Amino acid sequence: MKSFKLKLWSIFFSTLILSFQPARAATIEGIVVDQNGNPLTNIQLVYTRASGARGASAVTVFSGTDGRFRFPDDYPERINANTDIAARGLGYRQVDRLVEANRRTANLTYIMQPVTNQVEVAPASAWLARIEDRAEQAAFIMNCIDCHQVPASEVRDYAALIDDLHASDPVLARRQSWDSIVKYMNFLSAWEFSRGGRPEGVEIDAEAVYAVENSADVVNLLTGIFKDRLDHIEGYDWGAPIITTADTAIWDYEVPEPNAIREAVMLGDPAMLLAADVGANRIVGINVRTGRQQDFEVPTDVLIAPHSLHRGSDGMLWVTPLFNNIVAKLNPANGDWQTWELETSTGGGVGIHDLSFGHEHELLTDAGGRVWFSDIGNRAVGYFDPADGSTEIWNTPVAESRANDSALYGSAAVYGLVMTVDRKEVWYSQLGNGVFGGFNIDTKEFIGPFVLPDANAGPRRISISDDDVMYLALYGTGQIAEFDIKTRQMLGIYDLPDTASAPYSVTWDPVRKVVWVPTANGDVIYRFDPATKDFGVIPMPRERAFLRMIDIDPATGVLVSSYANIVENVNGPRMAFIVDPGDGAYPEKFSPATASAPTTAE
Amino acid sequence: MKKYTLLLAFAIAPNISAQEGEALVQNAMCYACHQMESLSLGPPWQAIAARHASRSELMTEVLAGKIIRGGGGTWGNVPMVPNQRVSEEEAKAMAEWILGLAP
Repeated sequence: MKSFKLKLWSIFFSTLILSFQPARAATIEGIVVDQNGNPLTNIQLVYTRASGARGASAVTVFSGTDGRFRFPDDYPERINANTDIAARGLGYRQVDRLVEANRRTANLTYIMQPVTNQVEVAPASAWLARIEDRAEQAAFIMNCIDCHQVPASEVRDYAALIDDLHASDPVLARRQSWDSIVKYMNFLSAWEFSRGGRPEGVEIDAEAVYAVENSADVVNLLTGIFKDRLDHIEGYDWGAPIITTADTAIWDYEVPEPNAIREAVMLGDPAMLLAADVGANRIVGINVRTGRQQDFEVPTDVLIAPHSLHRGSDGMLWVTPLFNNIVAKLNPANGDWQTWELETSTGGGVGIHDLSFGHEHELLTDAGGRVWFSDIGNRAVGYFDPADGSTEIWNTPVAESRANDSALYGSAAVYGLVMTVDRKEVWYSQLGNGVFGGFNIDTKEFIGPFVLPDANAGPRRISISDDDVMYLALYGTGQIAEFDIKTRQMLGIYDLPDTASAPYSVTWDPVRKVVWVPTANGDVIYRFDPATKDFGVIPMPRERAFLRMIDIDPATGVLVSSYANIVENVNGPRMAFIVDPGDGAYPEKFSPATASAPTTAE
Repeated sequence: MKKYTLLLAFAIAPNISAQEGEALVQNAMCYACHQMESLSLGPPWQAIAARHASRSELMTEVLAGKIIRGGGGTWGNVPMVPNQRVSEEEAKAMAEWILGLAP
């Protein structure tokens, strides 16, 4: 009896000791196999964490060549059969999952089945292969994919609704329905882009802003290509090798709605993701380690709608607006702002899009410390002096071959801007007419203009290498252009693996010596290697991954960007994210648990 | 006792009212396609109300479902777009407000 009592006390104390031990964080690892037990590589494992979990909202890893995967860092939450970790791969469906978990380790086995219908993973761009004429495809992308993907899942749902009508004249029904959708979209975009200066109660002119000018053509195209339920797609592939490894990881940080997150960079110590909310007057700061969020309100009386973000070499964040002429600078360490309301010496207004990026994708000023900008409102380039606010602009020359078309000239907005390594030239892109050019800061003379083959090429954000080679993301034609600024020669224009992927931006990676290309309609990031002209692919872990500009953390080489579906009632993720390509290219390894983003003073 | 009072308060908390439904209609930008009296991309709200007011209880449910999931065939060839960001409760309040516009 005594022995039994002793045992009871022993069990009691053991239990007590165990219960006072700090909760152990668990590692999550496992393997992905097919139904024959063969390992599958490049399958995404997407861990959607519970609301309020410390750190990222979702973490994604990829299975390696042996089918094995391991999530980075450890997780304090209990992993069990209900934990939301899904396997995802183009042409595969998860059919089973086995979970063996204790307090230290969760070991997961995923069994995948090949499927013919790729609808669950294929990106919106896959459906646009139905547009066989490249010029027609480019025109459509330039018209319809400014704010969201086409056909995103809700567009495909709408195609099913049209089919469900069982109309006696199905072509007429489709035409009328898609015509209504184009008008509806015109209204929404007019609403979105007039928020900065729309008096209360004034009706929106849906034809005024970003409206589809040739809506009859667009309706004809939609009627012709979207004539089924859009619920079945076969034969799509990423078009280039997947470059992920077992060390690749993606951390998504969700921003609570309502918001219209536009783009993001990472700054500060501890590291913070700073995301522009174009739907409000704020930058959202997200602590990478904890996931805690705070707002940095821009101290202006009018809505500037933060749009483009630029990392300063001094650790500051430079913000340009969607709506007006106010440039803002944020010190993320203390939340202090400085703003400049730009006005030319003749009292003219400016409309800023980008500040001049240097080859390290930081804001680069000229030798006099002046900040150069692309002026989307005046089709101009210009500078302002942060010391006194003085501002001057120069209107870009008209490209003769595109001058006769008033619609093209009217939409020839000056968009991206980069500065050469010697800080003596800035180079710009013009979105609406397929033109780019340079400007000599000393002589105040333009270089070019240079005309891209397709007026709907859609050069958006541009980047420059440490050897003064400029890269242009051609949104409409689904290409990137490589232009040698030193010799003024085009080195090449390269089709992306999917020409309907709508590349929004390009970013030169000064350590890897490659160009990263985020897409708006393809749910992927491409890597372009200038040495071989080859592409590689990183598939993103979710649909409607409407990607924006990529910034590269100079210390760890992780890619920072955002899912940026705008217009508040458009569906889709609104997140900032970090991608570790898992190539070990930078000496310092990124981890959210220890993240800091060292900055160098000028 | 305090706890029970709190629970009771939750239990009898009113649903979103039809008046709030009007604000929800504004927020969801339904006026992109609908107006009060005149035909736009979709039918006028008053016409919807006039057609369905006699069966308002049933049609509140039907219209709420249509607001969220979209649908078509009632007023012609053009289906209404789905509004997946509207909750069921909000959609019912919006439908109640629309049906309440009947003359």
